[in-house]
Amino acid sequence: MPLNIDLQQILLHMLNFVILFAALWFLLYKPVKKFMDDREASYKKDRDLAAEKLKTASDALDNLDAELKKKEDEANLKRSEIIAAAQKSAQERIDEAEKKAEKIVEDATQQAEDIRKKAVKRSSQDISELAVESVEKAVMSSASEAFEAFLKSVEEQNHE
Amino acid sequence: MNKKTKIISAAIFAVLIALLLVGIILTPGAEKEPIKDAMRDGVLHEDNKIALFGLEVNPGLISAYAVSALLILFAAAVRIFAVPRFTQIPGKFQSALEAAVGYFSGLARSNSPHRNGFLGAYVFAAGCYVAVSTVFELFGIQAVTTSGRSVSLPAPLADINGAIAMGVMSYGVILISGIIYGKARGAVNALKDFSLPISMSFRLFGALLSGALVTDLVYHYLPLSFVLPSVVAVLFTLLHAIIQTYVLTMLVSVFYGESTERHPKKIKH
Repeated sequence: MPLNIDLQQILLHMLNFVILFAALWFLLYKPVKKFMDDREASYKKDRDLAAEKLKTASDALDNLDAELKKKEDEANLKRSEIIAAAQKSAQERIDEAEKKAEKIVEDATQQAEDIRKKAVKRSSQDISELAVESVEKAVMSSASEAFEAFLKSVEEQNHE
Repeated sequence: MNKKTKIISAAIFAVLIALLLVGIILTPGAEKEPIKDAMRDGVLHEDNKIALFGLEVNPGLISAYAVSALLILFAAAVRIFAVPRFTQIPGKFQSALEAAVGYFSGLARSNSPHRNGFLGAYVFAAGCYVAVSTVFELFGIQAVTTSGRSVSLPAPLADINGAIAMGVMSYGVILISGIIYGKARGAVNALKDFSLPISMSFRLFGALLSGALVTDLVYHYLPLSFVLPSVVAVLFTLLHAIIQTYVLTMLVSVFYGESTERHPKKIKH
């Protein structure tokens, strides 16, 4: 054949390579590949496990956040209620104090009025006494002087 | 070292080199086959045959068996001694093995995403075979021909029979996988590239043979080895091994991927 191509030798080469292929496949490629695949699967399993744990932790964190938010809302609501109650209580106390103050002022006004009335009454009595005293004095001194003294004292009394 | 000693040393080296050169040029050397015959035999393997179980075969076939024996021994040793001691954090040797297996399995996966188990193993074996067999010629293992002459065992794929075997087998893998996985479409895909076995065979044969011929041509004349130091040839051979391994495995993976490709069914409206 041209180029010294020999079918028998080609077949011998093929036989050689088939044997080599089988040997390399089963002795070298397959075990090394299996080891690499197993290791990759193990890493993948670890990664998946870690991802799952991370997800669980993340979910738990989300739940805690939600619960915390719920508690915060409840606390805010309670605080608002307490503030409202306190404000109401304060308002009631203020109203009560105002009422008391009004009553005190009213009582004080009443007392002042009574005192004024009493003072007026006493003044009238004093004026009467003064008038009696002036008359007595007038009897003892001249009538005109006594009368003028009386008028003067009345006038002063009025000014006061 | 003083100046005088330096001059004497340099003079001794110069005289020694000059004497060697004169000796090389003047010495006729052992009688060997002419370059024309050596190169013709390098291509055709007509004269230098080696006896193998009653058959007269090319030295390339002996090289192929030697390479296979080496690889199988290595694989068996790794399987028995190294694999059971593999650790989760690999050492240097384990890393190198994993890198080789990972490279070829990744090549198979990237070119044939759906079915790559067999392809990965095939390109791994083919890659190891091509790489080791290309480097094998560097060892210069001698064998005795039927005519009693000693020859250096060449790279197995520099023998056209070896290259044809490799090309045809690779095409066979592509074709059979196409028929199994791709049914009629896969078979047609593989068959339309009917020139593939020829191109793969002759690419391997031409690439390896040309390297061997150039090396033969240069080093057939001893003085030329001073011009082109042998380390250059070694480096070229190593580079050659890497390139040929890459080209063959890449081509097989790409064509395998094409022939076993999944085609989505057309939706009828």
